[in-house]
Amino acid sequence: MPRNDTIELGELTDSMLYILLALTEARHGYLIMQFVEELTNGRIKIGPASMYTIIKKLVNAQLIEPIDGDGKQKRYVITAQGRALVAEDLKRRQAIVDDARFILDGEGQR
Amino acid sequence: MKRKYMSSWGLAFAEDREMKKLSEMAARGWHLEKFAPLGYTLVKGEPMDVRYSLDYRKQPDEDYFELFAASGWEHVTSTGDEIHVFKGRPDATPLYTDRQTTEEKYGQVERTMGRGALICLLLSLGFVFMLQLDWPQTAEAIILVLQTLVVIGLVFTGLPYLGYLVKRKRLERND
Repeated sequence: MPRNDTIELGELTDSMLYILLALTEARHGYLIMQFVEELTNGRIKIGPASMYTIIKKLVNAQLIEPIDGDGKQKRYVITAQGRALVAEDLKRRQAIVDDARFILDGEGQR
Repeated sequence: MKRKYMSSWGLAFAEDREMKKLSEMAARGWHLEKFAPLGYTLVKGEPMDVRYSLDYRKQPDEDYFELFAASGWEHVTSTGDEIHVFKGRPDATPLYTDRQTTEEKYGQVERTMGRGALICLLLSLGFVFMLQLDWPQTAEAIILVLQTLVVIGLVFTGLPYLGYLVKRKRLERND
């Protein structure tokens, strides 16, 4: 069965990228949801099932790791590997924006 | 307390329709209590404006239910420690918000059903083959009973498997 494992391809979905950004500080699942919603002014909301699935996946890929805490809910924080992948992904996204700018700005000058 | 039974066509085929029906029943004061054989048990209460939604997750930990509760989704009932139904306010963020994780929701259960169906199919073919041989009458009767059970198993895994397969293909096409 074909499995579309984006993490192995080094390409992050939007939700994954935002979750990784939220975990530059240790947070638990619900705080990540609130952080993303506030950061994007409600443009991006992540549902609890999507959140739980992605957290498990990011932990398996060692992009984030759980940290010990006294709190009830487990908190996670981004790893060095996670930061590297975010940087790489930003480059990819920036290249897309640059390409689009190049075409659209050039169009205006014609 | 007054209870009533609501039948199910199978979550593989009618998940969206039945979750919507449960919301409509809740608006009329009939609330989902638990799963029943081939359906749901509803219990009478006050009319409420809620949405129902379900998730497949094998042996989830405590964090799972807490995350859902914090997001406004109250756990109602589960079956087989794998299918979990939640109810939430109409304005709560849906359980799944991106395509990749939505596809994975069905991918997992599709594989489980597919594996079950394959085992039942092989067993069933095995019994068909065994029945070609000569057996004492009682042994033949036992084989026939086993054969029947396996065919029933095949129906209850094969049909859902096809249902989830179609659902996943439809999700992929909607990209």
